[in-house]
Amino acid sequence: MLFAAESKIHVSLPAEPIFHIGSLPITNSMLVMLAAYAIVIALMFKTANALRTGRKSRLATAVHWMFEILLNTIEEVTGDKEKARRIAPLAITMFFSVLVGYWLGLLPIVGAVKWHGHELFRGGITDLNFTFALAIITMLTVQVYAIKQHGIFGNAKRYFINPLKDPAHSFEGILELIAEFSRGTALSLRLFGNVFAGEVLIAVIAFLSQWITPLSQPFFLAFELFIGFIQSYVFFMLTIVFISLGSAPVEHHKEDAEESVSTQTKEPVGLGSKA
Amino acid sequence: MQLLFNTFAETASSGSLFEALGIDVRLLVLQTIAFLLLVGALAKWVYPVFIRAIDNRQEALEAGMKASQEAQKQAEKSEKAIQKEIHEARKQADDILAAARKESNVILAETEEKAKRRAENIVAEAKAEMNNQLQAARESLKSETRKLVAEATEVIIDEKIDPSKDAKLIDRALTQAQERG
Repeated sequence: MLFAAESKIHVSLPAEPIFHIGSLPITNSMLVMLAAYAIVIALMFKTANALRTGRKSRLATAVHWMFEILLNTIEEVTGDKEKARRIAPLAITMFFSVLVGYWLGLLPIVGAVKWHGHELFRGGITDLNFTFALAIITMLTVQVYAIKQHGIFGNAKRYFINPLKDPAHSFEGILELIAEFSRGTALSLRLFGNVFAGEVLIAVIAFLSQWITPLSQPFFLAFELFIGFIQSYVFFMLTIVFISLGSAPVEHHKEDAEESVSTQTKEPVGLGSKA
Repeated sequence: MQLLFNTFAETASSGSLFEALGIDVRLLVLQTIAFLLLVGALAKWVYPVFIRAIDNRQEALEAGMKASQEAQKQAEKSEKAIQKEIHEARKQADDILAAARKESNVILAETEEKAKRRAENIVAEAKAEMNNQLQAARESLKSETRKLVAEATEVIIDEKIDPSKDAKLIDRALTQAQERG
């Protein structure tokens, strides 16, 4: 994305194509993400092999330990062990992919090596195609689990309620539909924004500190490593929370409304009563 | 911030919003497929191994816990059994002790009785012996006296006296002397 010794900071919002396969452009962020996937696969298979043979290295132990923590988190959020184990592959792969992709983006070669005037490597997560892809997968998974739980029509009733029967909940349903789209968009933009801002921050610090960059940069890189972990965890948490929310039992709005009306009529209005 | 706005404005001016953000449907689909392939591969070959390892450890932990609880129960049971055994043993020991005391008292009493009887016997035997000896001594003394008297009388009357012939006479004289004395 940029280089400390450059006299001018160059920031490009979209990833830049490095070469084409047919008409399909292969961007610099895709190269890094490919490397990230390769690392994730190597790491996971190595750990699985270590678990099979019983010869665990520290790295394998750390990966398995992290996996267990994430699996326990999913179980706590969903409250259902079976469901947690069905969701786990997607959510945990997201966590590790985002983490490795984020951390690879902090390597010094990223943004520094040029290829035909473009950066050869760019942080894999600083590409909206990737973050949107993850968000789309998440939101589709939410819908799949919601349909499994409520059925096609039951799920549709979460969004479409007859306005003549219940205008308030009908409006709420429309808001819920909009919220589904906004959740997905926010999910991808949040991740993209954080990673992109982090890389810009490092670039700006490198540009400003010039020759004392080796002294100033490690602090920000350490900070970005931490942020990378946090962002991966946030994305992972939001994914499982959305899936869990989507497959949560639907409330009976009519009964709730009646119950709330009867409660309000029974409760005396006074200083202590709820408004 | 200005830098970002300028960047965005530059890229936005060159095309649509999606183009400005670098969103390409083909790349989006490619990224989606690539990620799903990764998930599929890991879900098929890696995660089951991870989960099995967790389950195995959990099972081992639970088995250990169960074994520990079982052992604790067993220990409590054994403790109770031992307490019961100790209690019974104490009771038995007390009984044995009481019986022993009783028996020893009986034996003591019997022994005392036996000892007393034996002592009485010994005393009786000693008395009898003494009496016998006394009688013998008397007899001997009598015979000696008779002999002496005979000798004395021989000296006095200067005539030979036969102790066996004059025994009756000497005895009568001794009896009279005894009665007088």
